[in-house]
Amino acid sequence: MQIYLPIAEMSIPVETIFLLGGFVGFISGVFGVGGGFLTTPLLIFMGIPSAVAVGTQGSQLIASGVSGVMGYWRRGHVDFMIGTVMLVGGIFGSIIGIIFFQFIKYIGQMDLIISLLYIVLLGSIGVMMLFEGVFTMFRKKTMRSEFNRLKSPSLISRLPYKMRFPRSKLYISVLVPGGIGFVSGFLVSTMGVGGGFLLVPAMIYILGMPPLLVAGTSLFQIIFTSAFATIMHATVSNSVDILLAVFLISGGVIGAQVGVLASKKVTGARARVILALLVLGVCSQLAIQLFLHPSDLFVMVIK
Amino acid sequence: MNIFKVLVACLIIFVPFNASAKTDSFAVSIASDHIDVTVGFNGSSIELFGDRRDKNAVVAIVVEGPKKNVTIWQKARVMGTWVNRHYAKFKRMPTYYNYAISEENIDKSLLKAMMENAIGHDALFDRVNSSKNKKRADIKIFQDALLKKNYDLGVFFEKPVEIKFINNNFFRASFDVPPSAPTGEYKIHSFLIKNGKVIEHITDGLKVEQVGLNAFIYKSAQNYGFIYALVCIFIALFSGWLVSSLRVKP
Repeated sequence: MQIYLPIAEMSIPVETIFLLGGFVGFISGVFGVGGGFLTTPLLIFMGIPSAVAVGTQGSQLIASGVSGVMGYWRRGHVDFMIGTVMLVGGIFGSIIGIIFFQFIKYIGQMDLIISLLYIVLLGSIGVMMLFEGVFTMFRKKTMRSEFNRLKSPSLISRLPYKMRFPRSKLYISVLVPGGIGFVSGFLVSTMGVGGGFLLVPAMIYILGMPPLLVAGTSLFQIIFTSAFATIMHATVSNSVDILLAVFLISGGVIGAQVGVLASKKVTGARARVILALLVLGVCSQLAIQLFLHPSDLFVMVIK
Repeated sequence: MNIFKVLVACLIIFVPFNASAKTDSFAVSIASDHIDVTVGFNGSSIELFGDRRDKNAVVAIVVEGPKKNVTIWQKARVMGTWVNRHYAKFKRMPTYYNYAISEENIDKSLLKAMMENAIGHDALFDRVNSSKNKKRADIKIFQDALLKKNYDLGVFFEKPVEIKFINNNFFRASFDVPPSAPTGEYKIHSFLIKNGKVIEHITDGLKVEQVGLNAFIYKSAQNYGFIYALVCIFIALFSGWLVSSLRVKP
């Protein structure tokens, strides 16, 4: 069934969006990731304008963030204080991201820069995850010592505006969680990804937060940063398609349920290898488009 | 006395014009003056009916969509990657443009009339203000690319639409409107051409617009961006909450 998207102003088979949402929901259910890194490029492959894909993706991040954070919240695994400081950084990051987004749109290089950002991000994360997963799979003994948090580098401990975070038992400059939040906000508003796979390691290794609190806190922060980015995209560039969001989310809801059931059958290291291959697959698809001679050398932009 | 002279002068000037308009040598009508873009919109068509008295005169019809400024980028290799490098800007290009003509053999005089009245795709670039500082040959590449892009989108047709004559005088034409066609005000220009001269020109308007739910969403997003965003966020929050509460049950 074809459906006409009111903001993207194009007609698209509703089953495809539903399946895409379901697939990403399934992935997020199995691997516990937001899946934004898959949705935005896949929407763009389907012909949805990049601006609408990025703008709309925020809604899905909110939905998957809320569904994830509830569980952590019930168990008390959310540090609201650090989350709020990160959120303040996230809002600044979103604002800068929106300005950057408008700028690359203005100079006509949006597709190139978004692709490049994706290739760099997905490529580096995919490779790291693949190595780590393969390494763990072949060495049955898990290298526990490697996962202990690093001591905060001296530069970080010298930063001003220190604050006590009792829940995480940290005494650290607010600039550190604020900075991490800033990066996340920038990613949400320019690429439509929550950046959980970047935030989680940063919170463990740079902030030195207890790993138990990390997932819940990063989700808490992503929900509000995405909500802010959604408001900005809707008011500044008018690129949030509510109909697209509804179909993506409803597909995602079902996919996530199936994914959670399936996750019981996929073990940690193997799951990470599969996810890494998936991430690298999307990355190479984007890279091919950028590096191979394009079949059509021309691009039309209507203003 | 003066007033009388003016009145006589007016009569002399205007009577012939009125008389020629009343000859009804050419008439065109569109079946519907609006196309509704609904949630399930999957394309439509613009149907025209017309009548010409002189069977030797050529009928030409142009349907053009709202005009926008268009930039065509040409990709080039920069450090191994293909990036948008060169561009040409076309001001006020129709976003939908198709034409129909009743004559297959286009001679010089007919072509001249077509160019003068913006009938046909080549005529588009004649009047359109394309960016300066580019040689004719260079600009041609971008013009061709613009046409090809629009052919691919289905908003320009490579061949003119056929005008079907039901008898010597009465004709009809049908212009497909694909789902990719932009919304807005469309103009329909109908020409009657004889000996390379346009002898009749009729202009009609048509509206392609989103209706129902789509129109509501579109207008809300345009006019109440903030509230619109809040609704999006609320839907997302609610469905996220729904998922988590479903998950807890087992």
